[in-house]
Amino acid sequence: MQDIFVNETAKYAHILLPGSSFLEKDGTFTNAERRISRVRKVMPPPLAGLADWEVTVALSEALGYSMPYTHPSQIMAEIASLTPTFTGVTYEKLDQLGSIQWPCNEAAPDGTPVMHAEAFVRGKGRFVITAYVPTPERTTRRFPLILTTGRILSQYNVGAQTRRTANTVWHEADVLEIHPHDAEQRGVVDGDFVTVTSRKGDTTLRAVLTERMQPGVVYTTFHHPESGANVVTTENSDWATNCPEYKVTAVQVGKSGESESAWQQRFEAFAKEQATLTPGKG
Amino acid sequence: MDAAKLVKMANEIAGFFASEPDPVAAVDGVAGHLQRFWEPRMRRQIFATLDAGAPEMTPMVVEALNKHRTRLEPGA
Repeated sequence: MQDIFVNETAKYAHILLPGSSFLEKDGTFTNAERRISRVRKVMPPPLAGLADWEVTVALSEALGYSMPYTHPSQIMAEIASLTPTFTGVTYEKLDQLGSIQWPCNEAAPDGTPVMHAEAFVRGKGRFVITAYVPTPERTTRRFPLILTTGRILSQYNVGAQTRRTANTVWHEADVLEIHPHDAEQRGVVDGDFVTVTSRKGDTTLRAVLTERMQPGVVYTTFHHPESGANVVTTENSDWATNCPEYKVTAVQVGKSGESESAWQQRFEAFAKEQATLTPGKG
Repeated sequence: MDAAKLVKMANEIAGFFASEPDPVAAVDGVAGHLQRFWEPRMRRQIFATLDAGAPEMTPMVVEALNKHRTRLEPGA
């Protein structure tokens, strides 16, 4: 595991490799606009003094494969020699132009701001009508509600980065949002601990009553690992990319006498134990 | 990996390629997806499941596996 933080995956890792932030390494960053920009080191990486690419090189050398790079520009030169859409990319050109949008090659020496302007690589686009794929998940009398999980603006995914910031003021815990009618039927009032149970598992969260929800649908976020949102969600995913179906899980919600489920208790003990194994930077 | 899950995934892939108007391209499409995105252990296991007889496997999956066996089966 390599990161600048001891993230959730680190709890399951045998070996932690140091990571470097964007201020601590030279290299390039390619964004979703295909734009390659330079990253420039302004301070040394604090732990081993190695940038990410140097850690990869050291790991490779230790495993017996020589990677004699001394600067990331040499790695870019190798990428350019092997990748038809990158043949024109060099650090010199990046310094000259500021940034480059690939493809950058003989046909487009300064890069390509707009791709597929006239045609795709295959020619005209091809449209095929595919069959509707319904979810296999079903609500029943046992699991009458649909749980949808998602994100809020102030936290990012499981919060490895954002939970370390003052953003936690806006979102200090994941809660279960539920329509007042669904709550009333279950004897749940605002702030109660409730157990959310699916065919897969259960977890305990505080309920927040809100008319933001449709009756029949409940919602939570997954910004705090101890909430265990994915203990409840199903294993369904799409055929092409295995993107999990986190928006459709049939659940039941009931008042809980406890503030934590059995899974949450186990997770808390596990997290505490792991914290003792990774002292220092938390 | 659970063999039933592999069969389910393969059937879902075939379900998509069933939209392909050309039936030969559909079968080749299923095999192409397995070759590009399934790691060797998964492909080895789906052939073992096929050989053991898998009644849940759809005909298009069976056809794709049989037709492209030499290409898809690791170490075959």
